[in-house]
Amino acid sequence: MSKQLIHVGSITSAIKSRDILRSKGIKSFIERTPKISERVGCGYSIYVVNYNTLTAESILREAGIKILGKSEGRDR
Amino acid sequence: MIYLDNAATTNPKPKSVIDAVTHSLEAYSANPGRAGHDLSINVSEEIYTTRALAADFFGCEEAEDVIFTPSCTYAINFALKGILKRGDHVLTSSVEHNAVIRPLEALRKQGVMYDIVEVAGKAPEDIVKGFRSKIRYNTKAIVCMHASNVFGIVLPITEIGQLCKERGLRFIVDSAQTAGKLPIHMKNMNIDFLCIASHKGLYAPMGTGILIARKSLGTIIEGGTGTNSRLFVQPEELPERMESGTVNVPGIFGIKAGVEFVKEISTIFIYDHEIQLVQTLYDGLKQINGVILYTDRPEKECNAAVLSFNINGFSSEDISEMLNENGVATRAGLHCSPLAHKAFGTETTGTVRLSPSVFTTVKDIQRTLEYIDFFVKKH
Repeated sequence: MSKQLIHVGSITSAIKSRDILRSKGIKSFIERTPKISERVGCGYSIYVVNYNTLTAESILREAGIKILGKSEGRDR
Repeated sequence: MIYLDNAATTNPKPKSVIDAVTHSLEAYSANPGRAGHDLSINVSEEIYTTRALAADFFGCEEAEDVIFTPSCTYAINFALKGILKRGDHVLTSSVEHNAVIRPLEALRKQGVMYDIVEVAGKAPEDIVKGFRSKIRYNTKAIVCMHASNVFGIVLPITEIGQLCKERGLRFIVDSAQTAGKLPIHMKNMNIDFLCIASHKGLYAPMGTGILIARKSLGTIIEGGTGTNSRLFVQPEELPERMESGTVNVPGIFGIKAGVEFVKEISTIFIYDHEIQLVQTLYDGLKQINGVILYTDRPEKECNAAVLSFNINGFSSEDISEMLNENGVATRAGLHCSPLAHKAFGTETTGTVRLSPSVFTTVKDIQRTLEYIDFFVKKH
């Protein structure tokens, strides 16, 4: 099974993103981005549980979080 | 020992701070923001919580604006060198520490100009007028301390912040002697960069400092930040932009415990307690023949809990050594602030500085006064 990951710029951004989503009642987890980005290199991502990733992404952008991209991750 | 050198670093540290530092080494020895394993993420969470705690405590809205540094001096250097460039002009006060003056002097050699505004013995409104009168077309910032580390005088930073807002200037505040002791609200005071000596009023370990940056700034240190590692340029995002290399995890755990300690007691209580102690010191010293004091009696809102004195006929180092022999820790000399000593006419003698903490008792102060009185009578 795969899951959608939202890539952010740093661990601080990842924790902040998780907290923003939590404040909206959206559960998410922080993970190391599984595939090293060809453009920026290694980083952290947010895995949103049981929620529309596009909406979550939009909430984060609105809160000023810089989104670097999205990818499919392997479900654990 | 009676420890009255808290303006240099607080002693003792609260047990909660010591426990937090020990706990971090025992249970959180991993590198934050570098890996995906649980321990690394857990350390990162603790650090983020500390950022959020510090941001809230100092009236800053964003946790990521909190940058951990090795000291307040580093924070000041990061702020000054991160915003000033050739052709810029900056204003500072006449009582600054070398942590401000030396970076400004280094910047002067790179084409940055600075002017010093006289503040000693001036009323708050005259201090603000002094700053206002020296603003030029190319003035980029005002940098000043919240309170003097030698004479304890408090500068009107709310009013100076307002001036900076009106004139579009960056405002950098050195809060080495006030963070954790006097109320500071960055947003309400229009402070753009707050430089904090967390090992002083926040009771954290030595080797820790904080820069809270509400505006973007350039870097003077670049390197690994754990992310965006394919890029050769430093990331833009705070705080990682300013925190290359592994951060001081035990120190940051100590900062968290220190802020919680201060919050629990409250800055109002700490300030009241300390100012009463320096008032007792001041009143007692005034009764001793030959003692020289340099300010009016310390009062709340006008002074931090730092008091300087001398005794006629003795060097400040001799007085401090006499107190040391009696188990009282003080600091003599110029306190890395020759400019402040010049402003108060003590640049050749220095002073003996007494600075209590929340742990200092009235009995400690009375015994110190007795030692000074005995020393004067004996000679």
